[in-house]
Amino acid sequence: MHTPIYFDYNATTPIDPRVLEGMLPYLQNHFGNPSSTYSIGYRAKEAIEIARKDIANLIGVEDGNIFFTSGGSEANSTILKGIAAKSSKKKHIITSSIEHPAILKTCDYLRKHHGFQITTIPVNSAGIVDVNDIERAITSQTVLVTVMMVNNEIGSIQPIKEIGNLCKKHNIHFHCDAVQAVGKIPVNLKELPIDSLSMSAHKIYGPKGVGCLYLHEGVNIPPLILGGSQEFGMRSGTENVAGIVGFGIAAKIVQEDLYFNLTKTEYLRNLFLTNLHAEIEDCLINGDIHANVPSTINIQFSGIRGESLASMLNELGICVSIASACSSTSSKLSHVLKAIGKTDEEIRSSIRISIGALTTEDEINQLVRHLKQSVMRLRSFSPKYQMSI
Amino acid sequence: MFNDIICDHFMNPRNIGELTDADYVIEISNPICGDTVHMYLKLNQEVISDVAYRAYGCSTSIATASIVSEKIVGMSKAEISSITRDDVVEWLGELEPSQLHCVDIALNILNQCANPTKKKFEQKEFLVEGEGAF
Repeated sequence: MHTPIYFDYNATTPIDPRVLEGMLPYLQNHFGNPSSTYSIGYRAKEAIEIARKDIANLIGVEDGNIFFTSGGSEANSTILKGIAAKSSKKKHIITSSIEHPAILKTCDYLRKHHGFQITTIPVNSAGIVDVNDIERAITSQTVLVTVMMVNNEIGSIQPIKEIGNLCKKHNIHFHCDAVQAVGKIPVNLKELPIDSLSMSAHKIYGPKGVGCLYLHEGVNIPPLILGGSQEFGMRSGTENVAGIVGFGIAAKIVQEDLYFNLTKTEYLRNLFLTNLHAEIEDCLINGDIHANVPSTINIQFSGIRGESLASMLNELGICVSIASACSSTSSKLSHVLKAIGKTDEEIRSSIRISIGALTTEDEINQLVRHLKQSVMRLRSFSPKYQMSI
Repeated sequence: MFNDIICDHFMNPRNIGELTDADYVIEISNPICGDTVHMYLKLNQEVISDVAYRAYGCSTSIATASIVSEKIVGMSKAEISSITRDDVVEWLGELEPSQLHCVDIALNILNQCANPTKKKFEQKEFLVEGEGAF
């Protein structure tokens, strides 16, 4: 079987060989517990601190403000639950309708179990929140605003600087889930007024099972996980040393390659869109490509299902993701596409293509060729498409 | 993901198309997920002599229509009536939970094939998907 052609970099990325090479010694010889006082333990501790510096450097912060976690979801839960635990009086959180479930479900948990009121700000058809809507939602009870930097499904970039300034003005904690932004666009916290930020290693060619939470100087929250006081007491549990080392190397690489990859991705996206529109009729981009990171393209193909298109592409060796799980209920439709005003039928006919550092021009050409073939074939089966033409 | 039977019928569906001289047409629509099958039947003395269909839906539902279309050719309406859920489960092979609704799609198709009434599509209307359907 041929190696699949991968267009799902938003879901996860393949590990960079340099990352793997850097991690291996910490899975083999340097296996010590970083809390131990002998040399192999110290060596592991030292490696963690190097990684911390490289990750801090990637987002322009001090290394002492980075706390390693098991991933983006844990980082998001840590800050949301932490802020909530500290706030005995103010019980209002503002978020957006297109956040990742790691945020939305935690908000829902705080609503159900801790009496928080959650205001979910809608987005426009491009998938962008209006800062004025956030300002209007702020009350004397608002303790936290949490908005993602880049949406995972359609790639829309949020006005983070403006939201941050607004929160600063009202003295409200601003958390940003930047899992889909870091490594794709410049993220420099020297220029962005963010109080806390989440990142994940496996979205930037690092290993799965590791991420981090950045906390601005002076932000104090109780930890989510208690125990041995690792990570300055913020996250107990023996560190995932090899994972953290890999995360650090991955951060360094994406920082070095950021502008090259951004330019290349933009070129490949444009090539894809030009060929797509030339080759396939009746397809529509969800969201606004001008408001998006170039690596994410969400498209609907009328008259067919995204699920069957993705399945056919899979059989042809191409990996893409869908906006709706194959299900006989409507509850599994993408909440992001719903939020930008798409109908259930449009959501069901959509797929997401995400481009990454390893994507080549040849792969884009193969994708368009196979897409055309699959879309035409499925439309030839479909009574729905026959009727609409 | 998909068992070999579903995969084969999805990638190579049998009997896709329309019959211009169909004796009956049947129309299956799942109001919740929107899966739709339009099937054309040609009968020779109560026996299905030819079948064609078009399908809109998930890959498993397209494969399901193909499997059913292949099975029913040569069967009488009475024979189709005697097909059980267990038979259908066996035809479709092992399904994941999200694909199980296709057993009901198959049974719906079979039920209508056993008692076809419509001579032609009246409007070929699709049920509205989503909340409007409830």
